[in-house]
Amino acid sequence: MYTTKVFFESMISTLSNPLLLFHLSWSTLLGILVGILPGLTATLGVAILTTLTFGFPPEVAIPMLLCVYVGAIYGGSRTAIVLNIPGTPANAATTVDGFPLARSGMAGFALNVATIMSGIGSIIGAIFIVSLAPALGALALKFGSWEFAILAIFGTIIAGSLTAPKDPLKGWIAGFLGLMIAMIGLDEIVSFPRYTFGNIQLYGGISLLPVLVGVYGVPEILTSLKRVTKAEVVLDFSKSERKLSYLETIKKNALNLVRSGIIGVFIGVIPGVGEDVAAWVAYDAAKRMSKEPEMFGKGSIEGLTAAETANNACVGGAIIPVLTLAVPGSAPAAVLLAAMWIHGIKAGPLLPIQHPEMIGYVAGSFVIATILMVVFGLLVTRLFLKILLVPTEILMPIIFVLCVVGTYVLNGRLFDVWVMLLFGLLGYFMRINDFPAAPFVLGFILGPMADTNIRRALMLKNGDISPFFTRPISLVLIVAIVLIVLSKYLPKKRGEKR
Amino acid sequence: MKDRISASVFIFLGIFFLIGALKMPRITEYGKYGAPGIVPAFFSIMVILLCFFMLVRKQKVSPDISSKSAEVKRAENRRLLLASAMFLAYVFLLGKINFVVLTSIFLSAASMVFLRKRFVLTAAVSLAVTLGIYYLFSRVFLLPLP
Repeated sequence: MYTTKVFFESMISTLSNPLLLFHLSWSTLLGILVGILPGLTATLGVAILTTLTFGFPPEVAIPMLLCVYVGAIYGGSRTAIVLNIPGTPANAATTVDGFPLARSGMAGFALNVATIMSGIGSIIGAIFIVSLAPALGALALKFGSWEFAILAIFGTIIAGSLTAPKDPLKGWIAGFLGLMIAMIGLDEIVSFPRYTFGNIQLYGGISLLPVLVGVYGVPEILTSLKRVTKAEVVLDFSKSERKLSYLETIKKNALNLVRSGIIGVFIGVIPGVGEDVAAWVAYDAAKRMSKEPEMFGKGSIEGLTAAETANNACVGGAIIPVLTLAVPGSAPAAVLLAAMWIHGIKAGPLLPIQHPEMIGYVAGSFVIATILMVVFGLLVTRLFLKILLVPTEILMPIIFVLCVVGTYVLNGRLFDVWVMLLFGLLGYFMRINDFPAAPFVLGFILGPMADTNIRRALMLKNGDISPFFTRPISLVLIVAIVLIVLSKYLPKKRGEKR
Repeated sequence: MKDRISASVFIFLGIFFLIGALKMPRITEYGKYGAPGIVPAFFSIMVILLCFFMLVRKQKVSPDISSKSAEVKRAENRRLLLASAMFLAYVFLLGKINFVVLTSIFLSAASMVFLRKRFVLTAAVSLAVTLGIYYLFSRVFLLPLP
């Protein structure tokens, strides 16, 4: 009840504050721009804005970051529809039907449908933040060291399975690499310097932001710059479009909208998985349930609706474990979590006790971000698409400079820039060898949580590991890990082999 | 082959972390279960084990369906090396040369090397963008620049 009250209060206070509204507006536009530009991800957008919002109070900075996040996930649909290139990985499923729609002369209609469905998806996400986060927060209070330790490993393994479905082993390796590298720095129990080699800069460990910018940004920049053949940019909206009612489209897709929204939210809640997986799963579900499955891939409005609703609903879902467990549901949510720490807000099980207003406040800001996204989406994104006419060769070095500057201003030390570059090269190596980045980053984030809680659990029971298997939540997580691993490697039935 | 190389690299990294973990103190003021090397050792063993599975598994070799010609691949590798070298040089020179000067030169050089046309325009855009970044970070948001 309190959360709902704060939810509405935060929306009213934001709408009545012109300066805050101004900051949120340009943040949303920045997010849409980041989303539109292929190669720039929502993660990078949130990371760069995090560095710019250092001087802002948290009640301004957090909504701004949410605006960039929501805007970027949505913005990627623009290029997915017009160019057949997803602006962010979250919009890959959008290309399947968005581009055929654009080719058939319905680019404007497809763009607007994607805007409306993204908006509805975000609202579904906000509803779940308000309703699900307090319940999950209450459950999280029952977590002890055993549950947190297993949760860290569970999150890494499930992220590995879902982001590398063809070869989950690579996803798990990436996850454990992240967990392993997170061990660098002073340990939290006895303050012993681990893997520091006497280097004072390493005592504090490796900061999250350089790792994120490196692993996500640098490989994308390098890949874009090395590409010899470029996509042709055609921005032609002059073709006549079939007049279709948007309201009619929403009505026809009502069930699809709700289903995709719920899928998006629940995939968002799963640690480290993210919007791209949500869009594909919802797209697949829509195709299975559709009366016209043959239209999928040829310009199906249902397909477009499913993908765009799910990826934006997933943003809301990804924020829920950030607030309640301090476990990010996706990569951009990981940066959001880091930004909250930077601004002095310790997300996690104690958040509903220490900052009871935070869940409602975040949900309210999320709705404002959605409203701004829809308004700008319908009014100005066609204009924004013109930025695609700027050659990649000019754009990518600028993005690199922004990555460098954004990393430097975090602590004002060049060491972080070198860390960013090193992890960029590691990220590129992982990318060309088909290792997913998401479980690596999630492992890196969850590493300290796993370390402290595994050792604390062992110390509390003098080395007895049986509580891991006797405590109900811990046992459920262990069973889930075993099932995930077995489901990937058990021999398939004869009929499924082909 | 690609998998074997990456598995070997990560096994090497895992062994490096495992040796580091084994060298850490075994007993602390919180007893042997508070030892800082326990968890790093566990994670590095997991990395080594998983990479070992990847190394020994029988993977069907899929034919190279990449439509890129050898010439395109060579050109891409050349561009990749160039970009990496320019990034490294830029980061190396940060703090040694004035930020505005270095960034303008870096952006102009990168655009000219990769775009190879409209030199004057790209140089002007580079300078304008650098000044924009400088103004935004150091004057508007009052953040330190290298």
